Amino acid sequence: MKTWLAALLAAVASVPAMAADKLTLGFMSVLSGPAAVIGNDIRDGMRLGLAHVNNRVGGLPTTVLVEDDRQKVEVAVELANKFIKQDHVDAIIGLSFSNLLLAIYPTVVESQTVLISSNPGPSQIAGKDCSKYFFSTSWQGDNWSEAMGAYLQKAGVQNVYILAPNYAAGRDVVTGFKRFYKGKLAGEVYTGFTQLDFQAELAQLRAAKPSAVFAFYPGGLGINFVKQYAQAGLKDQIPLYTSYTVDYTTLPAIGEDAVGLLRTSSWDPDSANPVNKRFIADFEANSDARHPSTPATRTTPSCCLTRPCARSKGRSRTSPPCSRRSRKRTSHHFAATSVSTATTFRSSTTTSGEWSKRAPSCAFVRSKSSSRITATLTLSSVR
Amino acid sequence: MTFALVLEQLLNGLQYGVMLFLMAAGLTLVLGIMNLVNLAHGSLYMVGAYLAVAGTQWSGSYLVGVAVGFAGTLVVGMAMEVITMRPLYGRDHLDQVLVTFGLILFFNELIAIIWGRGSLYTSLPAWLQGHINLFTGSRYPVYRMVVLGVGLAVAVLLWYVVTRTRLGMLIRAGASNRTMVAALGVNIRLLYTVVFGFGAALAGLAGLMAGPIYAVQPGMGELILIQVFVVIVIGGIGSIRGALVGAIIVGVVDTLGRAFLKPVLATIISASAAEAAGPALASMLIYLLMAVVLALKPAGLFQSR
Repeated sequence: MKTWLAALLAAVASVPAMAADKLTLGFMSVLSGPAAVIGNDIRDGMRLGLAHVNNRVGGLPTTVLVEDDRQKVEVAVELANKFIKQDHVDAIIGLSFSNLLLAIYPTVVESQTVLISSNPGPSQIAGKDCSKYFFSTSWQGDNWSEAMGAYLQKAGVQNVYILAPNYAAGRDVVTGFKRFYKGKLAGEVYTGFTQLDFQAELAQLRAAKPSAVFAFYPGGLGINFVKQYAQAGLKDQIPLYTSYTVDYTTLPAIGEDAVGLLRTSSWDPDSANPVNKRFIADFEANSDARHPSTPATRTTPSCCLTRPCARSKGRSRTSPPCSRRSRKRTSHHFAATSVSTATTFRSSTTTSGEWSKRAPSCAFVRSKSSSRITATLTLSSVR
Repeated sequence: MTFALVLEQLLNGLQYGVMLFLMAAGLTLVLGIMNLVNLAHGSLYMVGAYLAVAGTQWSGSYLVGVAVGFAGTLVVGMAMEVITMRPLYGRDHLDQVLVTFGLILFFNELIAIIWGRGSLYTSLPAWLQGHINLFTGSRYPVYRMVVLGVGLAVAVLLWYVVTRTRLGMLIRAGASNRTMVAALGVNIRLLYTVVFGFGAALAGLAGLMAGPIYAVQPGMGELILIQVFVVIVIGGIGSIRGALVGAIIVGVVDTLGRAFLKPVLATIISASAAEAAGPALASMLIYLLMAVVLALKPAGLFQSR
């Protein structure tokens, strides 16, 4: 941890004086409705990241404007315009959902404002819509489900029934799953983006008699889905595999119904590196003993990521973040390296950790992380 | 498409239908007797859900939460009637829409101020969790069976009150001819408050039962309110029997449509076309049904006057 701070200061000290004297960041996320569990964690992770650098990102006093996009595309676009034209922010950060990100993406990159996503990673931006102003500190949407697909393929599971909400990330996740799972599909169902009652879909699922179910339902949708799955008596009949559904934003609400479920992830609180431990301790201290979750981990580095932007303000940007290696390799994602500092973000420590007794009302969820994610951000220390 | 699947979807449709009925009963009485368009009925649904969550958290018992939700919404409904509705009785429907729309905004903000904008999640007590085994071999959640049962029990209770008690007689008379009832010396103001209050309490009951299924969030009432209006238009304004029949029809048609329209269409047109057309058509189905009913019987299925 000390080496991290030392590197930070060294990096900052080694850079010549900058043109600007302060930094404004526009933060937008879903802070209302069922998906607020995700947005609140992203916001709190961001605040913690700021606290860890004493509100001085890249050595500049930083102000962050926090806004709620209410999971509505028109509100997100309006907020993006406000950030760019009215508040003149240096970067827009946060963002919880891929469809909102895609909606504001053209406006933001055309105005040459940096856009850092903490959660969504739509495949279009990794491909033909790549822009040098876009960074992601999380993943490409396909990644975690690729891991689950590979796992089920290796385990020899056949006849999988897939469920996901009908929006950009839903389609990305299913595409990623099918990239590595080559077995038979018992069904592929896309439900409405705001649909909260899955009883009809669960009845269809039961009639299709699959041997396993793969589901992707972020935030509040996941809470409802897993609870209804258990209530319908399906949990002990057909095993449920998920990505981005059962995580630390939704587990407090799902409770005992999550016991015994398998999921893929690229972060786990049991990762035994010192930066992670500090992050968890401070997060729990600052947010009424709420446990941090993956979206929270994604925004803390986001603040560190803006350091290269802060330093290069007034000069041309450094090398593009999204790899242009090949558009055909659709499994790549954003490697957020900052070229001019010693801080690089290495691959996460992949663990199959057990959720320990810290979490309220949850006993045991085995998490199996992806081995394919090579350059995901995590809170690893500087080499 | 087996019998077990159809039965399970029918149960889902019935469960959704009785929830619509609980809301439609209050709304149709208010519209029929007091000639009052109450858009804030959805807000009472939301208030019921939130008060139940608060009651459960405060007392630790689910049943106490239910009682708090029900009684609390009754009080809120009666207060709403006394404070905001009384000046509106003689006025144009548009004025009533404007006022009740303002009430929607007021309640949404009030709830957001007190409980925040995120969704609240509660867990059910152990005796309501789990599933029961149907005779067809499939399983059905206990909680939804209980919701279905409660809804049907309320329907029976309402039928008893409306057809066998003095209060019910006054309600039916008021729905037929309000002026005459007032002229006959009945305390019409008290009747209105009581009717409004119980309509609100029923909406609150629907809300607190829906809470564990959907999400408890500000604005949760508006989504279901549209379907409730469809129900009372189909069933006939002022008629509780119409509300029940309309609600069951709408619930079953909506659920079965969403479940079976796509596979049925896939047998007629191509599978990919059915994939796109099926869900779109299914979401329109109840409105098409409403249009057909209105074309054939403009006053709805059961008329009260």
